[in-house]
This record gives sequence, structure tokens and C-alpha cells, in this order.
Amino acid sequence: MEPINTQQVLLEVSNLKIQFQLKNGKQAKVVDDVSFSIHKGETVALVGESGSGKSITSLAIMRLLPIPPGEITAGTIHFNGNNLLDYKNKEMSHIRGNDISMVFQEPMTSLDPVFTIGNQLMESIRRHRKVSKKEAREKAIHLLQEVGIANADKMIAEYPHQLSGGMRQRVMIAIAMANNPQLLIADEPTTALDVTVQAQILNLMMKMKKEHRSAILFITHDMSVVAETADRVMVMYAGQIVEEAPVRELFLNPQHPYTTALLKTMPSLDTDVERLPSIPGIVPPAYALPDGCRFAPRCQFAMEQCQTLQPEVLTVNEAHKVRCHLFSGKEERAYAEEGSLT
Amino acid sequence: MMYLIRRFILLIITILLVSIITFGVFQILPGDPIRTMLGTEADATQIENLRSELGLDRPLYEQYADWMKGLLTGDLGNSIRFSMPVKDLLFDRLPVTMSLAGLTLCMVLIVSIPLGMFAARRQNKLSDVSLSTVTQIGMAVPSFWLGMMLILYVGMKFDFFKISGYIPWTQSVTGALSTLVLPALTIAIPQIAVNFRYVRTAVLEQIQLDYVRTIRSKGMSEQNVMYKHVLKNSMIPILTVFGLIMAEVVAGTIIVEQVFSLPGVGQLLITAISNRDFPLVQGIVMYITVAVVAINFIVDILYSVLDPRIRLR
Ligand SMILES: Nc1ncnc2c1ncn2[C@@H]1O[C@H](COP(=O)(O)OP(=O)(O)OP(=O)(O)O)[C@@H](O)[C@H]1O
Ligand code: SF4
Ligand SMILES: [Mg+2]
Repeated sequence: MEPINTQQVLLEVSNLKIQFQLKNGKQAKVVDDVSFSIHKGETVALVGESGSGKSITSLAIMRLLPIPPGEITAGTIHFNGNNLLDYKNKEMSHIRGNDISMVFQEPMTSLDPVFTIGNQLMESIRRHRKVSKKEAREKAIHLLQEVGIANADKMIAEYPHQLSGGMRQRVMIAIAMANNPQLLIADEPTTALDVTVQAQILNLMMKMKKEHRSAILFITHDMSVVAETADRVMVMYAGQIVEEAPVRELFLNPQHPYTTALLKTMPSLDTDVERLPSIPGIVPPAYALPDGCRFAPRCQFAMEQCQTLQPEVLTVNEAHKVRCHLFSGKEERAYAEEGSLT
Repeated sequence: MMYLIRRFILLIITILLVSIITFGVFQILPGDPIRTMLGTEADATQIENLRSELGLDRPLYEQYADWMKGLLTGDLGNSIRFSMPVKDLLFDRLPVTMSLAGLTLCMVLIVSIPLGMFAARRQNKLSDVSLSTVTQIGMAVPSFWLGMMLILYVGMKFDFFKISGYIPWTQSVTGALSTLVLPALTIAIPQIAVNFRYVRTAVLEQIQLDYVRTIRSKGMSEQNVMYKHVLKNSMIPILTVFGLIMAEVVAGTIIVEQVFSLPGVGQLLITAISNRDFPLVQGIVMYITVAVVAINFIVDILYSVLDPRIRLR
């Protein structure tokens, strides 16, 4: 196996804007000016509260957004240098499940109830590989063993309703990994599962990622999961990425007040898990966003300009970016200090 | 397996109940078969003689038990009007009605399922809206009128179609079709309209479910999504109405056989009723009951074939 070049950009999302036409006639800016990239083999976490636009962003990458009511109004999504948004549906279907695959939030409903596990796994293999039924069957059994399913050769004839949630998510991971994708999008793969199963599934995903040498876009709202798994973190709030940094940097030197608040919600050894602090206030609905900073109504550092002026993305250092007026203030101060030195 | 056994017991009970009800209804209905047969001139002794000859003077439960015994050995008694075994009369007419019902069913399935899927995929687009409007009209049309229109504007215009009578399949396939296509269409059109709507609704419900998104995320083709996964899943709710549609089709044959003068069971039933030919009516009603109940039993079997979640219960 030749080593993968982790310097090489695999996915590059630029200035992505997604709107939804709501039933009451309003427009919801669900994703607004989102840019980020993922390198080959990298694990990138996308965190944020419910409704911040994480799933919609990932569905846009898969080209699985419901259009209408959704619409991509601006931006590009380059994968290996090609803009996925230019592909015809049929061309895109050869990328899905092959180069990019996805594991969803809802293991209980994500499999077709009237076909066997084996059937659903094999059709995925045979869609992208020219293999005989027998070879596909062997591959399917092998994959099921890989995701830790005992007596895989029996399991292949079972129907989804015969399996537990954790087992179904294992099957979903097997399906997603079937064709060695370069990018796996995992949209809160453990949220719907028992706490005891969550860690198992998480470890499994990391193992599969390593063995199949895929990059992962890992969506979660659990900061402790991020700390364990990710190379880099992107924090999303109300349709925008508000901070992005390598994982150590983000935990040690958070710049955005929202990131700081999120980190406080993390359980540590000395806090009572039952009484985790949560961030006061709610995420503004996507059809009624504040004019200025979207976090302003909940931000304890909010200044006057925050109410009227949207903060731009600012560079803390090469790998660390933040969207907050506080930092531009720091920047000016830093310049001023530099100036006084000379 | 338990599921099917339970269904089978239910089937037997239904048939029993219907037999008792038809038996009872005929005792209440006005009109006397003997008087109808002998005319108004007949004297009292003549009537009494015939009555005891036919066994109609015995107590009701005895008549019923007798009839049930016959039914179990395949003997449905003799027709009063035709003085022939009911069984022979039925077997004579059955092929006509079965052909008609079968052809109708094929038409309904072949047209309504693809049409419903087509409309669902184009939800709220022009083609979908126009189909929904047309089927709304199709559902409201009474079948005797539809039959007459088809006779007038299709049957009379094209030599191929015969607008009355029946030619058996064994004699000529095209001949059989020439007598059956128009009556079958007459029954099928409203049922196509009804079933189209069920298919459309079922498919629309399915395509917004999570598993469809998973299949798309695997890169499966649109054909695979629609005709493998969505179709099989939609068939489960569609099957529920399939039993009802079949009952409508069987009932539809009765009217349409009149309109197209087809010598089927429906026509026989009308004759039997107007002559108060009790054994014949009872036999035909039993035939219709068994047909409808058997169809529902087949539907139940199909359910468990289609839906693995039912097999375990
Ligand atoms: N079909 C839709 N029509 C209208 N609005 C939608 C639709 N789907 C999503 N949205 C809106 O888009 C926003 C982002 O939704 P999204 O599912 O991406 O959130 P999320 O970050 O994945 O949250 P969660 O953690 O709950 O999964 C929400 O405000 C939601 O109301
Ligand atoms: S821009 Fe202002 S309101 Fe927004 S996070 Fe920064 S300080 Fe808070
Ligand atoms: Mg989500």
C-alpha cells in the first residue's frame, strides 16, 4: 500500500450557501457562507448545537438535499479537484457509496425493512464493483466480520428488524465502508444509541477509518468525542462556521465565546454528569437571524458593533480561524503593541 | 405460521356466517318460489305436493343442515327454476365470470401501479395534477353508463369488438378478447382510478423515509430505488386495498354482465333472484363469498411474503 499524502486536499467547500423555502413563504438561510477543507486521511469534527446546519451541510456534499424546498444558492464543493455541484445526477451516483459514503443519525430507520442485510450490502458492492454474486457475498460476510458481527454468514440472511440499534449501525458502517471510500461522513452515528454501545461504535469507526485509509467528516455535538477522535475541529453556529482549529489548539486556546461555552458543557472527572451546564438561550431560527453576529443574543461579551455588523472570518494563525469581533479587537491591540515596540 | 392458521379459521367463520345470513334473508323476503313456478292457476294440493317434494316444508334448521351437508360434499342442491343441479349451472357460467374478473384485474394492476409511481415522482407537477384530476372523474363515473358509452363509441365503431355474448378462450383467444375487453374496461376504469390514488399516496409516503436516503447514499440507480425498494415497500399498504378492489371487481361483473349480455354468474344471479330460486341464489352467493374470502386469504399470504416483520408475529 502506498502511503496517503495527508497534505493533499480531498474536499474543499467554498462559500456554500443553502436556503430553504419554508411553508409560510419565508426563506431560511440554513447554511451561510461556509468554507472548509478536508485533507486525505484526516479526521475532521463538525460540532454545534441542534439546528445549526450540520446535517444540511453534509447532505449537500452527498448531493442528497431535498430540492425543493432546499436550494444551493452559491458556492462550490470540490472533491479531488472537481466541483460536485456540476455533476449530473447519474455521474454523482457513481461517487456516492464509492468515493464518498455516509452513516446516518438514525440506525433504526436507515435500512430497508423488507430486504435482508446481505441483500442491501451486496447491492452496494455490486453497484460499484464488477464482481459475481458469490464474490459479493464473500465480501459482504468479510465486511460484517470486520465490523464485529459474530456469525456473519447467518446474519447476512437476517432482516433489519431482527437486529438491535447498535447492530444496525454496525451494518450501516459496513455498507459505508464496502467500497473503501476516500471520505466517510458520519452524521452523529452514536446519538441514537445506548450509552454503553456508543463507545464501541466510535472505536469501530476509528478502526475502520484507519484500515480503509479514509478521511472522516465527523458530525457530533459531543465535545468529549471530538477530543478523542478528531485531528481538526470546526464549530458551527446558526449556519456559519464560527471557529476552526486543530483539536489541541481549539481546546487550549479557544477564541470564540460560543466555543468556550461549548467546552464548558463537556463533562470532566470532577463535574456531576447529571448537572452539566448548558448554554443559556436558544439558537435563532434560520428564517429570523440577527443582523449582526448570530451569537450576539446569547453572548456575554457582546459589544455594540456585534448587534449591527456581521463579523468576518479572521485568521488567528495559519490553521486557526475565528468569526468574532473580539478577535479583531485583539488583532488591533496586537498591532498597536507591535507599533509601540518599534 | 400461526398468523396464517388464524387467518384460515377466520375464513371458515366468515363463510359460515354468510351462509346463515343468506339463508335467513330468503325467509324474510316476499315472494314464494312455488307460486312463481306453478303460476296463479295452481291449486293448494299441487302447491303442497311440490313443496314437500323440494323439501321446503321441513323446519328451517333441518333445511339448513341438509344444505350444509351437501355443500361439504360439493353438492349445492337443485335449481328450482332450471330443474338442474346448481353446481352444473355454476360451472357452466364460472369460466365467463372468472375470465372477466381476471382480465379486469390485470388491467387494473398493469395500468394503476406504473401510473401511480409516475405521478408520485412528479408530485405537484403538471402531469401529476392532470392525472389526479382525470382519475377523480374516473372514480365518479357509474359503470352502467361507462359500459354504454364504450358500446356506443368503441364497440359499434370497431368491428373487432363484439358487444354482446361470449366466445370461450378454448375456441379462440382473440374471440374471447373481442367479447371481454370492453366489459373488463368498464369495470377496470373506476378501479384503476381508485388504485392509482392509493399507489401514488403509498409511494409518496415511502420516498420520504430514511431508508430511501440510505439507498441513494449508496449510489444506487434511480430504477433500483424506485422499482426495487420503494415498489416492494409500497406494495404492503397497497395490498390492503387490493382485497377491497377485488371485491369491487367481483361485484362489478354482476352489473356489467347485464350490460354486455355475458352469460356469466352475475346474469345467472339476476335470473335466480327474479324467480325466487332459493337454492340457486344460495349457491351463487356462496360462490361470491368464497371467491372474496379466498382472495383475502391470498392477500394475507402475500403480506407475509412481502413483509418479513409479519412472519415472526
Ligand atoms: N426540509 C426542511 N425544510 C425547512 N427547513 C429545514 C429542512 N431541513 C432542515 N431545515 C432547517 O435547517 C436547519 C439546519 O438543520 P440540520 O438538520 O442541518 O441541523 P443539525 O445541525 O444537523 O442539527 P441536529 O444536531 O439536530 O442534527 C434547521 O434550522 C432546520 O429547521
Ligand atoms: S462577535 Fe460579538 S457577539 Fe459575536 S461572538 Fe464575538 S463578541 Fe460575541
Ligand atoms: Mg443533524
